[in-house]
Amino acid sequence: MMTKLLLIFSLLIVFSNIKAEEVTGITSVETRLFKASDFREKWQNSIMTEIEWFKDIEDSDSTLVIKVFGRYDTQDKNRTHWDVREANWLTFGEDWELRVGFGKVFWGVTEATHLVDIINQTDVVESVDGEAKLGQPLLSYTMIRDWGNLELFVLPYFRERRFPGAKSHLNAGILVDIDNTGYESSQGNKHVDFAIRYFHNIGDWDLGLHYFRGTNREPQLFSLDSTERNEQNNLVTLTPYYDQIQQYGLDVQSTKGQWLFKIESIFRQDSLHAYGAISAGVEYTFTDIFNSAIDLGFLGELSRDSRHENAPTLLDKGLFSGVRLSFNDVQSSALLFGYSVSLSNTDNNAIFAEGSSRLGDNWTLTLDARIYASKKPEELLFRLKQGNHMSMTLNYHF
Amino acid sequence: MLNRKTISLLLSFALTIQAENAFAVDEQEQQGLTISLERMNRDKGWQNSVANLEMLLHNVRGDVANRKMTIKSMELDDDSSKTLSIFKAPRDIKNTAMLAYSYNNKANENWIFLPALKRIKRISSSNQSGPFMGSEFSYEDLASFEVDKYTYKFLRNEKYEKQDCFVVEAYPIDEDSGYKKTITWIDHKHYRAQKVDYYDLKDDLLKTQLYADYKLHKNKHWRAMKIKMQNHQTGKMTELNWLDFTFQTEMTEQEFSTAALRRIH
Repeated sequence: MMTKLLLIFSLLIVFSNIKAEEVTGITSVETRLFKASDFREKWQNSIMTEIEWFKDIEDSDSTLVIKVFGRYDTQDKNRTHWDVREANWLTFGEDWELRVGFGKVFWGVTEATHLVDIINQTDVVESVDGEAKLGQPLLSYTMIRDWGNLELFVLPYFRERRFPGAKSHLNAGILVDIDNTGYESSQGNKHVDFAIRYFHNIGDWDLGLHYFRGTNREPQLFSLDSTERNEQNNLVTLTPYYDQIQQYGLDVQSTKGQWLFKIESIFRQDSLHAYGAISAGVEYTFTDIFNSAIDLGFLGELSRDSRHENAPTLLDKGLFSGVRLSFNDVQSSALLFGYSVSLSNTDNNAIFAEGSSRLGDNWTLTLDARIYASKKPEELLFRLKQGNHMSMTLNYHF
Repeated sequence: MLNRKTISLLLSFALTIQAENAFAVDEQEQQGLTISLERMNRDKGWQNSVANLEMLLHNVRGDVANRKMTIKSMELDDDSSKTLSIFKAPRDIKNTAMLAYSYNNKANENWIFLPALKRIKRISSSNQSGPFMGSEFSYEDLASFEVDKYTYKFLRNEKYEKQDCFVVEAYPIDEDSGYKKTITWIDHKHYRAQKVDYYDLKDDLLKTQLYADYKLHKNKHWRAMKIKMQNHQTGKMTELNWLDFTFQTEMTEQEFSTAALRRIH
């Protein structure tokens, strides 16, 4: 299906009346270092490239964009993957926009959790923070008015979530069998989903309200047979099941001087239950501290999920606190520290540190470290302790 | 012995001198305000503009870092303005954009668009004194000149680069400003800023901004094609070179909406 779409778009590009064309992209080499274990290597090296073609179609208010991504990973073969992140035609008028094709949509205001960001499937193998997303086939129409913006989505074709493989340190002791994926809908991944979102900014407030109806992007993971652990690698095999949901959500931000107040909340109904989750955060930035041009920001976010232990996040009732240092120098250097702790069990926590800087004109370097801590072997976080790592990423931007 | 008549005469004389001094100070402030108002009024009605510019950041060692951006601006009926700045270079921030709504009598609104995540983030507007892109220009320096934001004092007439100029001192009203005062050389002929000295909060000379290569657009609007900012305390310098400037193109307010940010490429 993807190959067909790519073919169509490449033909469109060849034959359309093209004026301005741009190619941009990034190639990146990443090295991760874990603690050695019996059957997994200490080093995980990978190379990634992402290329974007953009065409401004002459004499029409429309554009074409294609963004293709690929990563080759030496440790985890599930992480070796490619994807069409975007492949869409956008046309717009004074107060409307129409998009057709593969796209990426971001909704949300909080940093530690992304409750409302439902449109695109998370590319879980790609990045640990859950911010990488798979391209989503969509048709969207946006109305831009004085009273706000209204966006309607038709989402055909569902993207399944990929999971780390047996050799990955980040699989949390779980092997997901995607050959036997189950769907509540008889149409499986061809079920057509819908979404509608209203967003507006008035004075200090930025508001978003949405409704989604369709295939849940988060799978439930079931074990089909008894919890038989694979003797070789001590992994539990689970099978994903995607149910149909209706979701109502809200995202609000209030910006008052140096203060930012944010809330994201969802209410979700599936065929069996209804549940809710909320994240509320605060951010304060001290600018130009001690006349150094450095900005020091403090973030705090509280999150709560009514599903408790069954919540898909690491912390069902959690507190995240972070510090951000922006040096505002020529290299745009920045340092970020984050600490997450579960409020129902404070032994469950995670910490990360990330530093980034530009080298010369075309290169950026990122160093980061992540540590997971837990005392109870049955906790997901405990199994993630294998995933403690440091990493270095060198990016070339073109 | 001073009789009552002499005393009252002396007193009224003293009061007259005092009043005259007070009047002289008021006059300087009034003149400073008049000149600044004229400076702003001469440029009114620019409607909208699109400009491509490059910024060269020089450090003390002679290294130069390059920035390129496109800035779209629109003047609105109520004296507010909307600006969309799209970064083109360096490549790692290409297509990152900043959207600003500037108002006269209420807080500005600012958003940043992060192309990698397709995320629109509302950010705090208060950091006016922070460096723009690591350069010697702060956000405050790059904002358009709003006469209401300062109190003024006319100092003297002086020549700068063979042009007769008014020298006007300005005191920012905003507490968040990074400056105690600025001194601007405004030419007599066209009321254009030629040179600005910026004084930090300790009242020491911090930076000097020089405008060069003024070009007239649409028979009314003067824009300097080269602006240099020299920081005397660090020795660093930033050059802003406008590559082109177009006025009064077809532009709608919707192009400055947050929804339109997602179309940036």
